[in-house]
Amino acid sequence: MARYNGVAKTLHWLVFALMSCAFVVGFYMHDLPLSPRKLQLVSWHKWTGVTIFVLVLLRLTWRLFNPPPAQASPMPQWQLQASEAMHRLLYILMLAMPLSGWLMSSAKGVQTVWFGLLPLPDLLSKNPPLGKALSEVHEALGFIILGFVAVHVLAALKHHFVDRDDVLARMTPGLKPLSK
Amino acid sequence: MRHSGFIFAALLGLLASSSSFAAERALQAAGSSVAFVYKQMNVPLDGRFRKFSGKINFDAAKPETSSIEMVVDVASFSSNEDADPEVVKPTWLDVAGHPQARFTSKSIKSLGGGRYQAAGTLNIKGISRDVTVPFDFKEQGANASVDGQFTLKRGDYKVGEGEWSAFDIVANDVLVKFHLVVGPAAGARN
Repeated sequence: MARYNGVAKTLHWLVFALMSCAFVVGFYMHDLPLSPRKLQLVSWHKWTGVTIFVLVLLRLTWRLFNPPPAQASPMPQWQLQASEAMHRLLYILMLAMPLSGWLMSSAKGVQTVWFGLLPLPDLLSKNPPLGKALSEVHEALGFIILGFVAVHVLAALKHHFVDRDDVLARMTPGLKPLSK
Repeated sequence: MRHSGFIFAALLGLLASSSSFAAERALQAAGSSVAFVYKQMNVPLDGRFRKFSGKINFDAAKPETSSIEMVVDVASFSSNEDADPEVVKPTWLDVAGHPQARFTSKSIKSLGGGRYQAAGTLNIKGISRDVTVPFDFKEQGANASVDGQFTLKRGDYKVGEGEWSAFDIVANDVLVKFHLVVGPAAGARN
């Protein structure tokens, strides 16, 4: 079985963990009344988002020089195409999501300072109505990502438990395909 | 007769002493600003007060005879959409209870090179503290500009009480920056 290499696997699962945190914190903090706790959560959410953005750029760079192993398991052409399209879309969304947050923060006049140490340049000048519009975009992207990640996860589980092929195993450390 | 002579002398004295005070230079709202920067988890956030007034009696040649009083309409606070509705509350600036913040100079001295320093009292939320405010004074045609900044500790004035009284999320330091445009000296012969 041709597995993804260690770096690709680490980045994949790390980004998955951070995306989960960012989603849960983002969803939870959204309706909290203003408090020091909320401001702290917002900062952590932003730092996580910037980290995901950087890690996704790293993943794409790594992938460019270390192409994924060829698909060994037999599957219909439409599934190969769907999988290819899904992965492209997920990469686009994983970049668009933090980018929309960054743009939103800029427009709201609240700079993003990564870990409270590294100030990111504001991409837009302060513009509260635009900030509000971008926060709608950011929120909508969150639910779009959730939907596509759900399909991605279900597809992986279907390959593992129903087709019993190596699709999930080659990305998951220690996992072997189920015997047919 | 002796009495009227005394009164005349006293009036003369009053005139002499009043002319030793610097003349007022009217604060012009257009072009003037009172702004601030505070930090929230190391993110600098800025804002300003849209409404303020002042009585600026200033003579660059005789700073010791000068005086400055600034009154800021606290309700004119404007920072960002999250902060604005919160800051009017009693825990922050208590706009209803203390609608004005005020700086009153006690003494002004020259630091040289067009730079001055006003020592005085800053009253925010009914709490007075001594502050020193350095500033530049520049004649610009008939008008003049007064530019400066100083750092205040919000905790000194109970700005941010209760859960906000810790400084780990919203820092204690607030940088106040002002740019004031004043008109010609009242009664100036030019």
